[in-house]
Amino acid sequence: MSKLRIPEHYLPGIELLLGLQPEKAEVLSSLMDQISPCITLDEILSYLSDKVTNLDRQNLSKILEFLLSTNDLRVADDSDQSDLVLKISEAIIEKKLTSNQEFQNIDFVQNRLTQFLGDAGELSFISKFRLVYEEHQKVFSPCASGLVYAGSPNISQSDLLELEFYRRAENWKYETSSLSSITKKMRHQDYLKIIEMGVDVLPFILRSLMKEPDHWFVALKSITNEDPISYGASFQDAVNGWLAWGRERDLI
Amino acid sequence: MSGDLVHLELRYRSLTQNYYRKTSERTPDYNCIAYVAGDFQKPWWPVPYQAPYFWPIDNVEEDESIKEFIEAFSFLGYECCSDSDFEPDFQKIVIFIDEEGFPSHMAKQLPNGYWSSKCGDLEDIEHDLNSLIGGASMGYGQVAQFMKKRIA
Repeated sequence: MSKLRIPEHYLPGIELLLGLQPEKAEVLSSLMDQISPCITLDEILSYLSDKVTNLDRQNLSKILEFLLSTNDLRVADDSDQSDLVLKISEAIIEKKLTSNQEFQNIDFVQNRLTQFLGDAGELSFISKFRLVYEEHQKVFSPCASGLVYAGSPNISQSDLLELEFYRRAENWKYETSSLSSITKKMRHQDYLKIIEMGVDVLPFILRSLMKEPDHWFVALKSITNEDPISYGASFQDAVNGWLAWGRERDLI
Repeated sequence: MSGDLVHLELRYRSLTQNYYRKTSERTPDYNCIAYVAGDFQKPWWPVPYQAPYFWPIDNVEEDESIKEFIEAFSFLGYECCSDSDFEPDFQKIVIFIDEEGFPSHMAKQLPNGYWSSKCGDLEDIEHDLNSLIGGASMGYGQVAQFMKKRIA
């Protein structure tokens, strides 16, 4: 695996993150845990800067930009969470940010990153704030601004399709999760686009259904022209029925 | 005044100006219509025979008019009434409509006079009726119809 390279414009955010007093870092990471995944970048900045004293919106934005940039690694690297955090930490130390000795201590840097990126599964901060990341991308092109490998990242078409699916799915959830109308959920542009993506996204839909049950039934029926669920079935029965359908076809 | 559900308050800003409190965790298992009808297993909506979405009366054609909702809850024993005043012998419910006049939400009255709502796939809340009123990002829209059913 190639070494990580950190673009210069993320260094202020990294320095601010590492320089947070322990108590403040604890408060900030705890607040980030509590915030719903369905919240926009603007909203999250307002919310957090109101609650964390002496951390203004501009500095908070720099910290978030760095954390969000790590999302690129999710598709370019199969390493587990702790290995990724180690690689990011090594790249940070190589930058020799300031004269602060702590910033050269690999354990300190790793611990601080783990506090924010999470220590379970993939970069959990990102999976929680995927919508924020999407907004972030409107400002910064991911290829030009994210953490990148010095060599060519090995991103397949399937990875890109999966990324597009999850971005559309998160946006759909964000914009429709509080709606009562089932038809408004089903007619949302991202939901319709996912249906258009066709059979290639079936494994992603089914995995998403398994991990976090949601209203995927109409999409599954539209894509497959099948419906294994009887009228009158409960929501959970419908989830289980479609998962069984997917397992029978080795899709999950 | 607010009940500290930031994601809900950001969508329905009337919540920030009125009383509400969370009464359940979020779940997509049922929606507000099912909740008002007492079904916690499946969402209710007048989509033609698409499981797990349920509708208590025949709906071979898609009809999301308020008339369809009134008809469905009349089938469940409710009758239209004119106000939200608490009446101990009756269960009162309310239908909200959006800017285009289509049903957008339902809530039911609690014995303490407050109202109870399931907010889409999100949490159940106890609230003032005003907490969810308003268009755009304020609430679910306007109150269109109260209904009641004798329970005692």
